[in-house]
Parts: sequence; structure tokens; C-alpha cells
Amino acid sequence: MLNILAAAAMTMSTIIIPPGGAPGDTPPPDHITIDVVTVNGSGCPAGTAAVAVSPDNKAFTVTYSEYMAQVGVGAKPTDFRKNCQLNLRVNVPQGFTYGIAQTDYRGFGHLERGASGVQRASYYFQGMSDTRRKTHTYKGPLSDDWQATDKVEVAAIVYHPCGERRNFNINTELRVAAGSSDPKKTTSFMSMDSTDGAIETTYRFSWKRCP
Amino acid sequence: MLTAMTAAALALAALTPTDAADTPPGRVTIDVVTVNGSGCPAGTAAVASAADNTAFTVTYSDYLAQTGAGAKPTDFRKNCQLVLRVYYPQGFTFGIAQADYRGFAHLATGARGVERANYYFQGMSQSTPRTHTFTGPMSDNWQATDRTEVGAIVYAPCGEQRMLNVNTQLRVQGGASFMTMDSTDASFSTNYHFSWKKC
Repeated sequence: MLNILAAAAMTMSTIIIPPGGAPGDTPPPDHITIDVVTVNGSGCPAGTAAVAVSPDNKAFTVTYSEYMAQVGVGAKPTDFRKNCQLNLRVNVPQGFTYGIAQTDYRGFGHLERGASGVQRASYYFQGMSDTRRKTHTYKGPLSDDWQATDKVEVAAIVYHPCGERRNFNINTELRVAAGSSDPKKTTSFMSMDSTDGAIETTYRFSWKRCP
Repeated sequence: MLTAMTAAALALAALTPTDAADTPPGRVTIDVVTVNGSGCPAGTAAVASAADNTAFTVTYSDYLAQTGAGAKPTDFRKNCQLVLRVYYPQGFTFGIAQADYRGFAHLATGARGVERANYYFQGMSQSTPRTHTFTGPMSDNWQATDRTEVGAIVYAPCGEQRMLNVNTQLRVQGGASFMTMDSTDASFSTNYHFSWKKC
């Protein structure tokens, strides 16, 4: 049984324990590890994203070839918002584990004066409605690289002796608004080059059954 | 591994299978894991690694940033990101990492072309950008070189391993201009290396 406290403000008493799943084939190690299961969305259709997971399974990099939201000349009316959702398998060891999940988003923004761009990520566990959102806003004039970092606390209690696996979703999105800029004469856009994630296990208690 | 499955399902432009059980030799070696970006979508980049894995060449068929007639408003900037797995031998290693970028630029008078590479390790926020600027009028090949000293201390053969990201980009400002990247070459030369054993 696993629970993730996405919100830092949450206390132990608010932990909701979801129903247990089948144990994995191999017991997870002493720390939280991650695998990237799927990458999909309007900003990263099949064949446009590449995934590289670190050998220790504690970090990953996703790169994109056409993750771009835009408004103005050359843009379709629906192009102002694009998303890319990452589904990660999180392997959590038995016991109580506390860690920090860090994600770095990097890309390029070209925003005319008066236009604005938003990079947002929603973090939630498969099957749980509790969602944590982090938003970063950029304002024009801008024509340069941008970078945003989110840190989300992760706490899990797993009673199963072999640990558990749960799928974690990160839904990233880019939005661009023309604002007071002229979309008939100009184009504003935000693109995402890469998403990097890493989970650092800060501390961990494990327990044994009483004889 | 799941990594490989996921990668295959996502139709990577390039994937070099790696074996975590490999013992690294007494020098720094590299594998190109993925190549992807708006300037190098799937099927447009080719990777050639040196036999000893200390150098590689990536060539591009479609890496072009442009402005003016025929260009979309978003075409003035293109990127291509390389994810590299770097193998450091156990112990202390010191060497030089060098990257050479080559291409062609056609820049009108008053136009500007920029080649920038951003270097960072997976999972770390710190980025190191290196920028090279070319000014018009110009209609010729261009070349840019970045050189970095690499000092690594690896205490254990199973220590933390993070991929090295090299995100290159081309930008063109000004009318009726373009800039292409034909190739990216990188090499790691290991100048010296101390190793130690468990007490």
C-alpha cells in the first residue's frame, strides 16, 4: 500500500492508503527507483519523444522534437496549448520512505511584448484524485532559453514485504496567450526541449513482523 | 530492461544498447543514448562511434534554422539534444572533453546566426551554456569548438551515474537568412587516471 503526499502541507493523519497491488517480480532496492512507462500527448505524439533513463534508475531525461505551443501568424486556433504526459513506474521499498522528486524543464520561448507563456506540470498518482500543480509564467518581450524546476516531496508507506510499484503521472503543458500583442502580425511561441526527473531518497525506515 | 523497451516503443532516433555490468576501462568512454529535437526529429540523425568509444560523430540531414521567404515564424530556432552515457573508470580521472560543431550559414547583411550548446547532467538544474555568434553578410561554412576540462572522482564502481546532456541549438535573427548544422563531433581524451583498491 502506497501513498504519496504530493502536498508538503499534508500530515501523516491525512494519508489515504489505496488498495494494494500485486507484488513485483523483483523486490525493489533500498531507495525509490523509476522507470518511464509511456510518454504521450498533443506535444509529444508517437515518434517525437526520446527517453534516457540513468543506469541506477534514479533519474531520466525525455527530449522532444515538436513540443511547441504558439499563437499568431501560422498558428492554428488550437495551437496555444500543448501537453505531454509522462507515466512513470515508481518502485518503492518496504517500510516508510521519504524523498524529493525534482523535475527540470528546459526550452525556448519567443514572446512578443504583451504576450505571455505558461509552463505547468500536474503531479498525481494513478487512480488518485489528489493532484499537485506547479506553474511557471513568462512574460514578453522574451526570445531566449527558459528553465523551470519543480521539487515535490514524496512520502510513501509500503506494508508489503517486497515493496510496491505504483504509476506516477506528470502531465506537463505549455500555453501561450497573445495578450496585448498583435496575433495578426506576430507569432509568439514556447517550446520544450527536455524534461529531466530525479528522485532522491532522503530517509527510510523499514520494519519486520513481530514473531 | 524496461528502459530499452520504452525506448523502442518511442521510436528513438538512435539507441545504443548499454550493459551496466561492463567494467569501465582506465579511461573515459561514451555512448550516445538518444538524439532528438526540432532540428533532428526521428530518422534525420546518424551516429558513428569510434571503435574505442572515446569519440563520436552525429550527422544531420534536416538541422536548419531560417528566416524570410519560405520560413515559418517559428523556424528561426531549432535544437538537437544528445543524451550521452559517460563511463568513468573507478578512481580519479582528469581529461578534456571537446565538441566540434560544423555547418553552413547564409546570413544577410545585418543578420545574426547563433550556435549555442547547453551542457548539463541529468537530474541537475545547473546548466553550462556556450555560445558562438556569426554575423552577416556571410555565405560560407562555419565551425565552432567547445573545450571543457573534465575531472571526475568515482569512489565506487557502482556510484551514481547520470547521463550527460548536450543540447545544441541554432538561431537566426534578421531577414532572408539560414544556418545549418551538418555535424557534431565529440571526443574525450583521458590525460591521467589514478585508481585505488579497497583497503
